[in-house]
Amino acid sequence: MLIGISAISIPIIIHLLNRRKFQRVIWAAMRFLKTSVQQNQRRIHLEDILLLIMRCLLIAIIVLTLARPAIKSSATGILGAKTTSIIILDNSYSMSASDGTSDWFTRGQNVAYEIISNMQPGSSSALFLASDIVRPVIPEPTYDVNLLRKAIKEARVCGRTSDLLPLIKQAVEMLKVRPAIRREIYTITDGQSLAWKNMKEIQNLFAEAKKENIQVSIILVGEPQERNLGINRFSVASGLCPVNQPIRFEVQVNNYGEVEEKDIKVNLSVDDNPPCDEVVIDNIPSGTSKTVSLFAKFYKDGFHSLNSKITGDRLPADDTLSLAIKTVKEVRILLVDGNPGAEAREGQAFFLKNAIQPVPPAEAPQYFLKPTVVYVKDLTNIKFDDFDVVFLLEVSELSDQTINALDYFVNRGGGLVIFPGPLTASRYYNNVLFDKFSLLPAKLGNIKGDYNNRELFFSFQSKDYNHPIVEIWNDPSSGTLSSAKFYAAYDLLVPQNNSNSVANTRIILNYNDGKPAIVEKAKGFGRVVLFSSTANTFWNDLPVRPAFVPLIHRLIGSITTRQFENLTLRVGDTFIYRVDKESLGKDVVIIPPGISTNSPRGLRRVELLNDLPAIQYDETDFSGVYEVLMEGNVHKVIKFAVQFNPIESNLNFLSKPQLDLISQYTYLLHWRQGVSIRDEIQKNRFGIELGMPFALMALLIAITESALAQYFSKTK
Amino acid sequence: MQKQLPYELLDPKVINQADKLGICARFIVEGYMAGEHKSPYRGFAIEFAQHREYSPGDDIRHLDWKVLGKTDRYYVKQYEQETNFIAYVLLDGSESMKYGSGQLTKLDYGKIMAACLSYLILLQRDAVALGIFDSSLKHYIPRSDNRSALVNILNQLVNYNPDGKTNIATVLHNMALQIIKKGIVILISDLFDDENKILEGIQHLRFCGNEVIVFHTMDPYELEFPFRGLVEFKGLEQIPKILTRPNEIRKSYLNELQSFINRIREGCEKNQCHYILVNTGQPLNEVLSGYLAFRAKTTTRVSR
Repeated sequence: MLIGISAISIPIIIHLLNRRKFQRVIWAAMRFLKTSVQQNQRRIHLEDILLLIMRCLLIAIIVLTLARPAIKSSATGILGAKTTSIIILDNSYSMSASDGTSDWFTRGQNVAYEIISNMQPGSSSALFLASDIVRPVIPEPTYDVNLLRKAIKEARVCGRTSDLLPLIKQAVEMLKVRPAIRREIYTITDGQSLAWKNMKEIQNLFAEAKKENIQVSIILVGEPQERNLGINRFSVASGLCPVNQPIRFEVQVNNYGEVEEKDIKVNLSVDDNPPCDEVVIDNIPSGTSKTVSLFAKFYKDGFHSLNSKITGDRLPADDTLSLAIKTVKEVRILLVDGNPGAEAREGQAFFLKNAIQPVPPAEAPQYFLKPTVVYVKDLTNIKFDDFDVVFLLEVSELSDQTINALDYFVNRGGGLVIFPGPLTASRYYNNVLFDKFSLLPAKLGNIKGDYNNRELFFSFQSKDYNHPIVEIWNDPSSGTLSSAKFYAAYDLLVPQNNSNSVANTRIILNYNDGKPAIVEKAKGFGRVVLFSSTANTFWNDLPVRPAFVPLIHRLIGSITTRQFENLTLRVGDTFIYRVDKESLGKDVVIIPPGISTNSPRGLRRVELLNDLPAIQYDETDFSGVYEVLMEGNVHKVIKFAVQFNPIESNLNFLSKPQLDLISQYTYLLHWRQGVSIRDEIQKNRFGIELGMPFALMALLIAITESALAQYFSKTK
Repeated sequence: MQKQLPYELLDPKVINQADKLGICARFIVEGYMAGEHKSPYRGFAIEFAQHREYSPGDDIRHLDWKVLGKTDRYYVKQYEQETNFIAYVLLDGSESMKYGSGQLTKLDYGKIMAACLSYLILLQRDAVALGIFDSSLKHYIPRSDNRSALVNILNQLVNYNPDGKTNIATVLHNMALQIIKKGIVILISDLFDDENKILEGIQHLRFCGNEVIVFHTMDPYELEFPFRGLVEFKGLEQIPKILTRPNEIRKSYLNELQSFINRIREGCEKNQCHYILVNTGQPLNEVLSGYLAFRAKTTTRVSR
């Protein structure tokens, strides 16, 4: 557009052409003319020059007006132009860090207020909350300043980690198609380097924005932090959560800071009560973590929330981590014995029943695990729904009716554990249970080993236990699994090609030769666990090993809590909870953590999920305990906990080269006490739109030029 | 203007109106014929003029005996003698006279004026001489009271083409020296020359006893300077061109011109000459009759 400035030459050319276009007169009275011209020449010349300058200026200003100029200026008022902006406010939980007086997020909110109040009348803004996903609070630029203020005021720090790439990308894409002269992106973040992990892509976006004349301002409201302790992990260590039994919880504390931390108190509280257990970690060196065990006892069955806290520091968001569990009074277990044997000790049910109930017979009725032993022929009289877990012990075949009942039982959340044996019809298992009903996690292959030759044996893997059921044996103080000797076992053929099966199938434990020993599969809301060897001493000596009881207990715990695994989620995960058929269609209110009574609550409805009624809720951005109230039964509160993403606890600040890179394409501004962000932004604002002033100036010059030309051309 | 025939120079309207008024010499000219004009020579002619005290040497025939008888004082009678006059018509034939915004150039206008005046003068049996000049006297027709001289005059006027610069003062000085018989010098010119020198020339003529009438011929455009826009003025008499916007200097030009005219007018009045600013846009009959009427009023004795 500014090429048009060459149009300034137009008046000059016209002037020169006019000099060539004149009337010729033969004249006698030259002496008077000559004298007059001499007397007036200087004045005429000056008038000519003045008019020429004014005409050139007029053209130049008209061209400039059409070019819609803008300048960098701190001036405000009538000269300022309307702005279309997007305010990106980082609400990852690292923004909850503070310097002791104010936290970064409050600073960010204040900066956002200043940006809004600095806008010219008629400007519009959108508001995005920035974490690792885009949460457009106000997705389209609005002129309603009050709405913006309200949205900023109601914004909260979430439990997510931060990644600015998707946000900046969306903001740039949005502004690119906007026709406004002044387009601005304000990114208010704490300066945590994690948010800039995709620096190269962000840099490209900045370059693109610059090309499109989109002004990007980065306002860093955070400061480098030397120290930060955070809870990394908080989980149930016990296999089961029965009432009146101490339950072990594990808390892992990480030192993200640059200095060693000492005497860190870790406590555990249940249902917002005062802490029930506390331990002190002597020291955690920089960059390392330590795990401690804490215990809690529950006296009522039902949903409970737990909070683990450590000594507070400058980033409080990662000093507390929540957990939700559901405690049970008893677990009913059905043992289906397919081969009772000649003696009671020969049957697998014998060993399992004792492992499940490892207490003297007198105490057995009070024990929370309640095993019931039946034979295959009695299955027709059994309702699987009366049990939580069903064990099939060397059952050769099952009737179709039983299989169907079992399948339904698993789908609705029941646990099925299969121990094979010599009588197990592997072909039937593979054809019916695996292929037809997809109940088995693996096919049964050949029997390896010779149970008659006790000299040759194999054992479980001795380390690298990954599955939660067996992970406690990573700690040598918990004993060992590898001491058990196996003389015979089925080869478990875990499917490799069926993606659905593979996704739902997981190996719990391997043999020392790397072949699977125990495999599990999630089906519906339930779970199926397949062992490769027997639960008696016929094929192995596991049942007489010390690890057998905790292994079975953890297995039962894992299966029964399958339904409750989803009670503790990571931020962003979807909460799914199965409810009974009667609840279908009922409204459900979900109260996120840390909201006031007036704040909006999530409203959902019980709907069918995989043909089963379930509650679904996906707005799990905030770390803490959520409460679910169902229509018609508000006194029964379902609790679930959402845990933050601990990656965000790493508060490494942007390095100097990174800051330099950012400042190459953007206006980088550091929040400082007492410095008005408003002024700083205004200084850099690109800029004042000069269209209107230039148009007025052009008009003024045109009027002046006309008046002068009129005056100059008057007879003198 | 197309080439004229000699008699076309005589404008019937002019002749008609001016004839009634006649050419009245403002001063009593020296005449060689007793004509209609007072002679500056007092003697013993018909018209009594005044008494004068007798001084020794006066012819006693002119003593007024009646006065002597009544008052016992000696007075001599003086008489005015009517005489014919000689008009020297001097027409500026320089290049500057070629300018004319309308159909007539200043020269054309001057030629007609000269022809008409000559005709009128000859008509009342006075003598007329014609001189056409630029920097010098280019053509001169000696004085003649014969009406046939008019043909020569007209032919000379018609055939004259200007091509030289003006030097009026020199011509006037030369004429002052050349004129033996005093008369009326009629100068028809735009006077585009040094006005001081022109006035010196006029003064010289007056000093020699001539009456001088100045017809200052100016084109209406020269008097009004009505041009607009950008105009290139190409000077007559080899003056360099000037490119200017006339309306922006009009006032200044008119001031210059007016002060020039004023200086000429004042100089003429000082030398007791008649100065007539002739706008060539006006009809000649109006100009000439207007002047002759004025002249008739201001002469001491109105002609018959």
